[in-house]
Amino acid sequence: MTTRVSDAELQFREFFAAEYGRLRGLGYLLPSDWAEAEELAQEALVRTYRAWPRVRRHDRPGAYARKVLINRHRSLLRRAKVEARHLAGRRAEEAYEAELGTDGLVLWSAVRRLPTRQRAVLVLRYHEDLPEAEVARLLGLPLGTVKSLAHRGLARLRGELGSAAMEESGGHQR
Amino acid sequence: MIEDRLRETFGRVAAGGPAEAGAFDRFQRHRRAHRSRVVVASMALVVVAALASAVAVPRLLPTTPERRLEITGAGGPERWLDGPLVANAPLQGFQVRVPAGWEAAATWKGIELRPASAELRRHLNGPVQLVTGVLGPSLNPGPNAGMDGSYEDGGDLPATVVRPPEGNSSRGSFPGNRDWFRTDLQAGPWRTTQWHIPWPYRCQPGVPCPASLALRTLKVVYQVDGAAAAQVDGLAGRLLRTARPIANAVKGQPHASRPDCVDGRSMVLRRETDDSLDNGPSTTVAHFYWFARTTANLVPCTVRGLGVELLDASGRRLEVQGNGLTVASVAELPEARTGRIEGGEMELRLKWFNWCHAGETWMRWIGGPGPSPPIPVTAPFCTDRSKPSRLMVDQIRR
Repeated sequence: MTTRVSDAELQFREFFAAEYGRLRGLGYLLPSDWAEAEELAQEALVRTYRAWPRVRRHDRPGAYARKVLINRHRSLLRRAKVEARHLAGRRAEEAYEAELGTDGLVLWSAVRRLPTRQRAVLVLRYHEDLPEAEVARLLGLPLGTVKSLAHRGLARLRGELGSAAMEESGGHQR
Repeated sequence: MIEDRLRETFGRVAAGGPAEAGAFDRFQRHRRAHRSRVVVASMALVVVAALASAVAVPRLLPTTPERRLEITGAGGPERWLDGPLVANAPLQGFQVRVPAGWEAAATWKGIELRPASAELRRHLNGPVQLVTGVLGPSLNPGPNAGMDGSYEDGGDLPATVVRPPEGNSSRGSFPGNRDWFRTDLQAGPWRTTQWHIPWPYRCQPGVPCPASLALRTLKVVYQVDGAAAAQVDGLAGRLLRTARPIANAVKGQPHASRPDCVDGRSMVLRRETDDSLDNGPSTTVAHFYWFARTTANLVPCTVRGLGVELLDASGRRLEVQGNGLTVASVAELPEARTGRIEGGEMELRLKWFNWCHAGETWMRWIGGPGPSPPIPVTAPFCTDRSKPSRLMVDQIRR
C-alpha cells in the first residue's frame, strides 16, 4: 500500500532534516541536557508542523521553529521543570563532552554556571548569530536588558576563564 | 576574543550529543501524541465547561426553590400559581407536578388547573379539576376494589357518593399498571370528560376501615371543545400517570391533620327530631339526631361542635341539666360508619327526659350550617319530680 505524500509534507520533511540538528543543538545549549534538547526540538517541530501551511511561506521558517523552541524553553524554565530534568540527565550528558578539549570544557563549564538569562543571550547572540534586537524580541526582553545581560555574561566568563588559567598555572608552579 | 571561543565551543557542543537516527519517527510519534493530547484536552475542556455550566448556570439563575401548592382542604380557589410547581394534597393522598404553561389553585377537594395561555383557556369551559372521587365496583378500575359484590349498583353506598358518571365509557391502562376508566359526554360544543384511576383510601393502623373506602379514585374532570381536546387529554393523562400517592393513599402512612368538616363540602349534614322522623313523640324521652355523611370526594375531616339548646316560648333557656350541650369532637370522616351503611356516615343522638313543667318547649340546633331558628318540640313526660330534667348524649355511631 502506498501513501500519497503532499508537496507540503515533502517540504516539511526537508525542513525537518535541515533544522532538527540545529534546533536540538540550540535546545542543548539552553538547558544543557540532551534529552531535554530532543524534547524541545521535537516540540518546536511539532508546533511548526501544525502551522506549516502558513510557516512554509515565510522566508525563514527555521526562525519560526527557533522562536517556538525558545518560548517553550522559557515556559519550561518558569515551571522549574528543566532544572529537574537537567539534574536527572547529567550523567548521560557528560559522555558527549570529551571532544571539546580542555579549553572548550572549561569554557562550557563556565557557560553552564551562568544565570539562565545570561546564558540564553550568549547562545542566541554567538551561536545563532542573531543581532541583539532579534535576541531581545525572541526572549521578550528590552534591548537594554539584552545588552546588559550579554555584557555581564561575557565579563563573568572572562573572569572565570582567567581564574581557571591562574589556577592551572599556579598548580604547575607547585 | 572570548566571543570567538564561545562560537567555536557552542558549535562543538551543539554538534555533539547522541545520534539523531530515528528522529523523524520520534517526531511522528510526538506529533500523534500531541494531537491526542489536544483532543483529550479539548474533550476535557468540553466536559469541564459542561460541568461548570451545570453547576454555575443554576447558580446564576435566580434562586427559585421548588414551589409548592399545599391543599389544606379549607377553602376554594384563592390564588393561582403558575407552573411548574408541586401540588401537595395530603388530605386527598396525592402529589403531582403542575407543568409549565398551566396555573394551579387549591380548592377544598383538590386542585384546579387552567392554561396560562388565554387562547387555550377559551377552549376550556372552566378549570381542569384534579380531585378524588368514588366509583362503584362495577365501574371502578381497581382490582376487586375490596368489595363483596353487593354494591353492584352502588345502591348500598351513600347515594351522593356513588353516582355513575354519564356518557360513553372506556377503559385502558397507563404504563405502570395504572388502570383508568373514562367517560365522555358531549353537550353542545363542550365535551365533559372524567378520568378515574384507583386511589384507595388507607385508614391509619388500628382504625377499622370501611371497605367502601377502597373505592376511592383519583379523577380528572374538565369540559373542553374539539380544538383543545387532545392537548387537555394529554395533560390529564400526564397527571394521572405521574401522580404520587402520599399520606392516606399509602398503607401505614400517618395521615395529615384534618380540618373541621364543612357542610356542603366535605360532609352533608342532616338533623332530625322524633317528630320529623315520624317516630312519633315519645312519652318519656325526646331524641335529637345529627347525621353526617362524607361527600363523594372522601376528603377526610373531623365532625365537631354539634349540639342542641332547649328554649321556652320567649327564647330563654329551659332549666335542663346539660342544656346547650355541644359535642366537641363527634367523629372522623370518611372512616366513620353507623353500622347501617358500609362507611362514610356517622350518627349523633341526644336525648332529653324528665320534663316536669308546663308551657311550650322549643329547641335550636347548635353547630352545623349557619344559625338555626328555634322550632317547637314535644317535651318528654315527667317521670320523677325529685330529679332534674337532663339533656345528654344518647348514642354516637361512628
